[in-house]
Amino acid sequence: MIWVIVWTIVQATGPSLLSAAPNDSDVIDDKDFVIVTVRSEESLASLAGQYLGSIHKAWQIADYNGVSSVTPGQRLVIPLRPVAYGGLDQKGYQTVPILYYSKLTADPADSKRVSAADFEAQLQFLRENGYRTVSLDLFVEFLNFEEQLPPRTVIISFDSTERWVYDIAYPILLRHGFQAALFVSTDRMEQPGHLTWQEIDKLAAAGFDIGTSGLSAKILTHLQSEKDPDAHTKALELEIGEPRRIIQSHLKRPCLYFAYPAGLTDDLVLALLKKHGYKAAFTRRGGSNPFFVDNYKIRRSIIQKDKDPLKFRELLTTFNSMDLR
Amino acid sequence: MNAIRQLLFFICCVIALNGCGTFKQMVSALFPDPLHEVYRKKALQHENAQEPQQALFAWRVAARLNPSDKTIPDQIKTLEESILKSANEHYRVGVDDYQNGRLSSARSHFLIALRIMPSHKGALKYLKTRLPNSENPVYKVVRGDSYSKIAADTYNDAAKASIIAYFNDLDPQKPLLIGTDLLLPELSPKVTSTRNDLDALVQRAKSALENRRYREALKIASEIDERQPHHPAANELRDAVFFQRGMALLEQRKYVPAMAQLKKVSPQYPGRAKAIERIRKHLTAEATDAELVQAQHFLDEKSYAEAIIICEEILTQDPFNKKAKAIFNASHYAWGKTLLEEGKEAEAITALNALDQGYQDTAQLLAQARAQLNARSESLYRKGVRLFLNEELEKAIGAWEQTLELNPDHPKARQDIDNAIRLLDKWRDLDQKEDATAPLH
Repeated sequence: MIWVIVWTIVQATGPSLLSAAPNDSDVIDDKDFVIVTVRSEESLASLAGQYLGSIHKAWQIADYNGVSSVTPGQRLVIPLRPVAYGGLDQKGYQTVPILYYSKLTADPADSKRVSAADFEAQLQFLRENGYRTVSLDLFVEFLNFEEQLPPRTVIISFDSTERWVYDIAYPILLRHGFQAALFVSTDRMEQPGHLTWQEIDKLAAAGFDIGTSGLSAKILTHLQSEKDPDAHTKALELEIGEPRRIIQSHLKRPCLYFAYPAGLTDDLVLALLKKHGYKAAFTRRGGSNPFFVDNYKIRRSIIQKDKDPLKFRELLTTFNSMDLR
Repeated sequence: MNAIRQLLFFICCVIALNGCGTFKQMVSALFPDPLHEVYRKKALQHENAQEPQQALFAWRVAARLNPSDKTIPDQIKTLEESILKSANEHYRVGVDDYQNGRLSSARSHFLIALRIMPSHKGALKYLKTRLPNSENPVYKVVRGDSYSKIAADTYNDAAKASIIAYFNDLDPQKPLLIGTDLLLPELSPKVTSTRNDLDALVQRAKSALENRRYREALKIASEIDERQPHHPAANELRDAVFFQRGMALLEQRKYVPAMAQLKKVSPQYPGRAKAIERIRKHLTAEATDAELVQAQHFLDEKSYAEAIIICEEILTQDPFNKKAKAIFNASHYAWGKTLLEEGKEAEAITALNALDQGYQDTAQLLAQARAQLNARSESLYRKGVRLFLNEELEKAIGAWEQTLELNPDHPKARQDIDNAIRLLDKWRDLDQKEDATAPLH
């Protein structure tokens, strides 16, 4: 009789009263968070994949719970929305530096361009000092005040279809586990000395964001058609709209990001980018980006050949101090 | 044992009557999750540190961990009210700062409002759209407005309606709401011409000119012309641009493009004539330099005559051109010496005579040439005498004529030729008389 009663209670309350082994009933769901008990096979990455939709968000769980790894049986609170939107806190706000490399060279004696060795050293510095790269989608969600970024987020970008992107930059990025954003001028694709669509597809599959710098990479604020407003608008529509269509047809993925040729833009270009559905656009104006930067005037710091690594480090501003109490 | 049985029976009754949820609540009330207390403390710490969002989050976690804690919902409600009040206050101050041009302070208040309450749409809108574009004019939509009407009023072109919509992140297909603030983008200069007056354009052009943005200044000058043909400012701007460009090119010693620029400047423009004269001089000098290079080349190639001709032309224009004089002398000297070596003493003397006697060993060469010439003429004279004595008068005359060619001042050759000719004439007379008296065969 006693055992029948005990069996009834156990069935009613679940095994938690008798055993520490977790199961699904240990998960407490809320619209803003979940509380879980870690199972033996779980890690921060697997939990991030399961609850936050991406293993790259493991840092959010680690940060909120103040842990660097997990052990079975450990209770964790997993925030399902950012705890600090825009990287805002009482001491200031997060900023994201975007590094723009105009060209890399394999020749270490080249006095004008950043060499492969310098690029490697810079990425090594980033990796050793806890910097992380993120996708442009996530970055734009940060700008839109919808997502949170790792504290030391940096973005690496190129506006070129030349072979050095694939032959020099890509292997080095791969070695250090970083991703990058590549803005291509579609007219130059498949030209001698330039990348093929197959190679671009491979870069995209490896995590590169593929945006565009226009059909022909002409400076949009100085087109020949400028004297005739209607012709000018049509020429701009072509430079802005056509590459989106071309990239979509070749890569079967949308092209949502634009890099202004020579970094120059004006209000008309900006309005047309919005009209054509671009989510963000990048200048070459130096500086780091807070969430409230204009999505169509995102700053990028030009990385120049410089022997002094301190100058490179000065560009990596990831927090702007300000009294926000 | 009976007591245990009674307890278990009671529990079964509770489950049977109220369901297992009630029993779980009973259990959690008796044995609360230890994490609940951790998050309760966290929430209080965040509140004390004035981190209301973090505090709110921690309270909500604590509430889920221990639903029976009846104090938490009140804590959450109080905190939410406090957050809303504080965020709205910072937003109000921010808007006031923005409207009074205190943009830095406005940004700070909007940021605080968002830190306290991330869902504050007003603060986010100001930060994302108003502050970055604070230089753009803002238009408040009134009754009867549409995108097309505003575009027509602003840009004189209703077709620009969609551009206004997209620039403001609005759907051009949806109607405009009265009271909406619209940022009006600055489109290309021609499009926005109705909004700018001529004076502003002239000022912009002058500023461009001062900053040496010549192309921009010219573009604005054309724009001024289009709006008001023959506007004096447009011509003045163009003159100034072409003159400054010309002078800059002149300084860079790019004389031909400099001349092209200055020729576009109105003739009466101060400084134009002098600048053109300067360029002409430089151009002449440039041409001379090129010719001298050519002359030197001929000298090196031992084409002395050509080198001498070029130098003579330069020296006619510029008698004091040292380089031309040097090549001229070197050419004559080398040519004279070569002729002398080839046994052409007369030509050598002609060439060397063009030189100053003090030039290198010209005097010595000349003396040598003359001596060689005398020796050769004397030899020819003696040959003539020998032929004369052999009664070969015609050949003798030939030798003496050669002597005179080499030495026109030969003291005897002319006289001997005359004598020989007279003798020849006498012989011819005698021959004719003998022919006339001889018997016919």
